[in-house]
Amino acid sequence: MDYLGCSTVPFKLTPFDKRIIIRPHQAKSIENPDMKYHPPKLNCQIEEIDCVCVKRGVKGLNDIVSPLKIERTMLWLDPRLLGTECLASFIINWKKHVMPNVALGIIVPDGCVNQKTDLTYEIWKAEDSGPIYGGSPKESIWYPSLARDSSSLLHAMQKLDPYDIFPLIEFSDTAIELTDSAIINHTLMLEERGSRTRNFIYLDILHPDRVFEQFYGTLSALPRIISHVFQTVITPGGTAIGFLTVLAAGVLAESYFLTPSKEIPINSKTTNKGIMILRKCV
Amino acid sequence: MVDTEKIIPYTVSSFKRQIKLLKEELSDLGVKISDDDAARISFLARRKYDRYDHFFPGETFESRLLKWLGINFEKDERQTAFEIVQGLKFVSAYEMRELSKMAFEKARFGILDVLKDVPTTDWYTYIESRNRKIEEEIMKSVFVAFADDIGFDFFRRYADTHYFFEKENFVEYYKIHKSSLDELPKFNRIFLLDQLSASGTTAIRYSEGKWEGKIPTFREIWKDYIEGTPVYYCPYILSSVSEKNLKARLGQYLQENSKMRIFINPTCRISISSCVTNKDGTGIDENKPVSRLCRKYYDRFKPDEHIQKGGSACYGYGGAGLTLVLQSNCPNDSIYLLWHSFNDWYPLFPRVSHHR
Repeated sequence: MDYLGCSTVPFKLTPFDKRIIIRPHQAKSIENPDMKYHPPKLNCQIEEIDCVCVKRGVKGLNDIVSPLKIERTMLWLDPRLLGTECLASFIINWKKHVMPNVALGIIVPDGCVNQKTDLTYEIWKAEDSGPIYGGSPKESIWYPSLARDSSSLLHAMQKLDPYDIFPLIEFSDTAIELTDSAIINHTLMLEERGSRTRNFIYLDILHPDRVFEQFYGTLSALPRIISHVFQTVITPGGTAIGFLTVLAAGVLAESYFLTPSKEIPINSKTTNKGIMILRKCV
Repeated sequence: MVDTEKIIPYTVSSFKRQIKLLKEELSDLGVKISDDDAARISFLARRKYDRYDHFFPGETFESRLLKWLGINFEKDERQTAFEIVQGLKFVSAYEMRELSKMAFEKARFGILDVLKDVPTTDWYTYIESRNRKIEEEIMKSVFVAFADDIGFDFFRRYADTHYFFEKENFVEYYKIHKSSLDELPKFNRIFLLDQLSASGTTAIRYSEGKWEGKIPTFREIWKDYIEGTPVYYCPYILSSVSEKNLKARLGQYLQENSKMRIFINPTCRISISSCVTNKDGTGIDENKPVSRLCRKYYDRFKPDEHIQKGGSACYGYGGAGLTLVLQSNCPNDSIYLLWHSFNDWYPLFPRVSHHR
């Protein structure tokens, strides 16, 4: 993964690049002003597709890029107004069905993600046909973002009953002032399960490419031979950049997720912070 | 007692008991705290404070806290003294390693800002060219330890996992014999890695008509090799007081030493502790109860020659006003009530001085 910390695209778009609009979340027809989609300014072709939540399977994603068998090109995705499951399913579709010459450019908004604080946490896994709910792993290693609300995270933990917890803590240039606050919101959860301090995973959100590399490595580290016993389960949260980086690493490592049902993490009015570029080995 | 009633250490039951006991013991000393505050202190004590390097084996933060409050302060002062504890910023060894990694990444990203001629034809050309140039440029960097406690071994290994550096890209201490400087690889920039700059006084100060401190000493040793080369001063932790002082002092210093180019590039920032800071966070509020406590006991403190270089240490060396504790040591820039041991004062975090 490469991360460009700029609000506008620093390179020229090619005639083959396409910006994806996912219906119905990002459709023009939505009247609610809070949900009204404000598309980013990208001078490239637009392709509208149906989301997996209304039509199982992102059929057509491969058709969109299939004429472009040689040219390096990019699909642009804006995560605003997409549900977490929908976003994850799009990424897994890109991984499984798109040719190696097609990269995925994800626009990274500024600020923190919205979090639902209700008790509707569900376990799911991103598949190309859409999220598969249930199928809770027998033994799980849980990676919850400590930026989330403490009571709902405690509820999520009780629902999952993980074997071990590796809390995700965002770390930036204000870390010394803020890290302890993030941790002490979850004292009960961490003490109840005896989560070790050495398990804390610090996410350097100023350098998301390294976070992706580290966390993808972490998720991929469980030996495949025992993967039927221990499965990784992620609850991303925090800043949009931290959320998207963890989500992308989790989807590509084919982890489970435990998130509030139908959560829309990024609203329509956020400004751009950077660009995350996922690409396969070309 | 039956087995099921036993409280096993490091379990939620022991945590709950610890909270209850802490609250009761503090109450006996005249300190009232909420359940949430007791939970917060107990949790941080178990997870962080107990691992302070200079506690005796088996000694805990909580036992020291009770003794620190009980021995040093009058009963009616202990609530105020406890405010210092509530404002503690403790950097664990794990967090310090993260800061070390982040310092390297910041150096890498800093190179991006000065990259020129990256072709923008399309995304692939741009990214590939950018990554290649970063690699080329970072290999033309020299990383110099500006202190002995920056985890330089970890820093170097982390850097080596991402790029193929030569051994000479890393200099283990800035005070190096000039003959060794001939062995340096060709470099375009230097990163000076420091653990903490809390007042800026150790880095640079003007004293008795001349510039002193690490930066002027570095320049004196390295001057024949760094003319025109950008030098980045990279403390892992930079306080707001130091940032202000460094900007002012370096501005003046560079006017007198125009051939040196130095920039401040901190990894993480920290502000004056809320227990002594003024409303806008720019200085010390001398009317705050903790500030008054600092003044009251200052006669028990014995500033040595080094401390005196930073002026009064009533609110920490150089007036930094910090409540910062590093797992490896408590900086003298933190409020002295926390760390000094002169005149039978019992320190909460006993400090080992670098300057003897």
